[in-house]
Amino acid sequence: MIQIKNLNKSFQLYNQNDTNINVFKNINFRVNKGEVVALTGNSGTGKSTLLKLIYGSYVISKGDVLISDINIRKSSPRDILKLRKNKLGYVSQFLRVVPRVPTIDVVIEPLLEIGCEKKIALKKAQEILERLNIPKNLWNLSPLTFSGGEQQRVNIARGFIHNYPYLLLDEPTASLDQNNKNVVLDLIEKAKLNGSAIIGIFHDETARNKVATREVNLENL
Amino acid sequence: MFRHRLLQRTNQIKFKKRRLIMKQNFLFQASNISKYYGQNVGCKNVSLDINPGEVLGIVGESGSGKSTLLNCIYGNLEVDEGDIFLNDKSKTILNFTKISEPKLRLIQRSDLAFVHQNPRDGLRMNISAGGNIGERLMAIGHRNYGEIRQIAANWLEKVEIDVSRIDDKPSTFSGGMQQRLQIARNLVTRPRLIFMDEPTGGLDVSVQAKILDLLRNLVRELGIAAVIVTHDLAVVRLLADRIIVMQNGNVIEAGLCDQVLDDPQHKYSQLLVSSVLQV
Repeated sequence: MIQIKNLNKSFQLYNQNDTNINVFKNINFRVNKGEVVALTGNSGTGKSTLLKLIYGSYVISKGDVLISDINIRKSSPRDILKLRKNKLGYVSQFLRVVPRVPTIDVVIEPLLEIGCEKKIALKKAQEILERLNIPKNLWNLSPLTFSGGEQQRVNIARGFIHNYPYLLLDEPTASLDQNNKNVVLDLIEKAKLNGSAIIGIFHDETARNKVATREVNLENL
Repeated sequence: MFRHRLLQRTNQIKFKKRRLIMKQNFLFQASNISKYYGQNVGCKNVSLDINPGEVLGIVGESGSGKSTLLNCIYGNLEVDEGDIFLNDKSKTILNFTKISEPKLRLIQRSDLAFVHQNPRDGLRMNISAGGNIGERLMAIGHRNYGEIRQIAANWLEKVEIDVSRIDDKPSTFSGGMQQRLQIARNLVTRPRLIFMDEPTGGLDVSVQAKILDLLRNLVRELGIAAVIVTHDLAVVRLLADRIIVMQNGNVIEAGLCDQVLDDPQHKYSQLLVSSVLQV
């Protein structure tokens, strides 16, 4: 279960005339096992910011984020890293990898991190890359040379290769064609049935309606 | 008599404190390190700790005290204040400021390693590549020539240097090859903690990527912990778990790597992060 309690976020920008930007105030909701909550609201309402607060990439200004019994605001960097490794997955819009590392190695990394045997990890990676229609002849190339849609699918492969009980998805279907979009939606559906608690941002309404069990509009909170 | 007892008690307390630290399975701990150059501050009141397999990044502009701190905690520079503890291979806790010089040198070559920005500072330029690696093995007691040569060849392969170059001197190598050789020389003794001062600093970007990939794999496969000093934020983002930001010898911010880079809280860290050119 992911629980958001009275969450506030503001940015203090010291080098830009000490500007203080209030992103949102007093956000409250919870996501149970097997639920997909879609965050909605116009650009700039803080959807991505909220995901980053849950993931620990942004500092919580006030309030709490609880992931099962772990309080993100009170967790040490080591605790957060451990949580990310084992339980909390995040698919961002951007692919950040070491240049020149082959796609297949990028995809198996989350499994190697948790001590999975390389042979098994490779097999799983092949399965998911095939499913996401990444041509086999690209697997040994760095994803940094790929098209936007292909890079996004590599990111998705990384996010779904391990069965994270908690998943954060930042526009996972944004730059995909219909066929691949459906594959990704199937992956989300499967994770949902597996009991993962998922929070996602889906700009595409049909995609959202297909997988989301509930919507949380950040403008109305 | 009374003084003697008092001394005994404080020693007991110290001993208890040490046992407490030991339980936490830490690898390395530096507490309240200060180093002054005359009137000038090298670094002031810096504390950090590292667990096995962790990568810590130290960032900041030139002159912020990054390298001073690194040299202090490695034992190259004598500290003016503070303590440095290492939980060594035999699970004994050593205090660098208390142990003898020869003991420290031995530790620096077995449990620890140091990769210099300029490979010429970390290599012996007038002996062969194989010799550079073998020398470290001999320093910790290896004697069988055939075996040493074999291990050296394996390591050249690991860092992607053609094994046929084993008898060539590093002066005939390119900068990137020299840096990879330096890494091999340092890792051959299986250190548990490696200190790196701008390891990709003087290299062109294609070689940088190769070394980053190499370091990441070695860290994961061998479970080595690392402290990396760099001014390149893209490098720390890819390598480090946690980072500390330094300015004028002080640590001004510390935390999770992506959190400090994506949502810096201190004025200076914000400036540092926002000054990076986008490619």
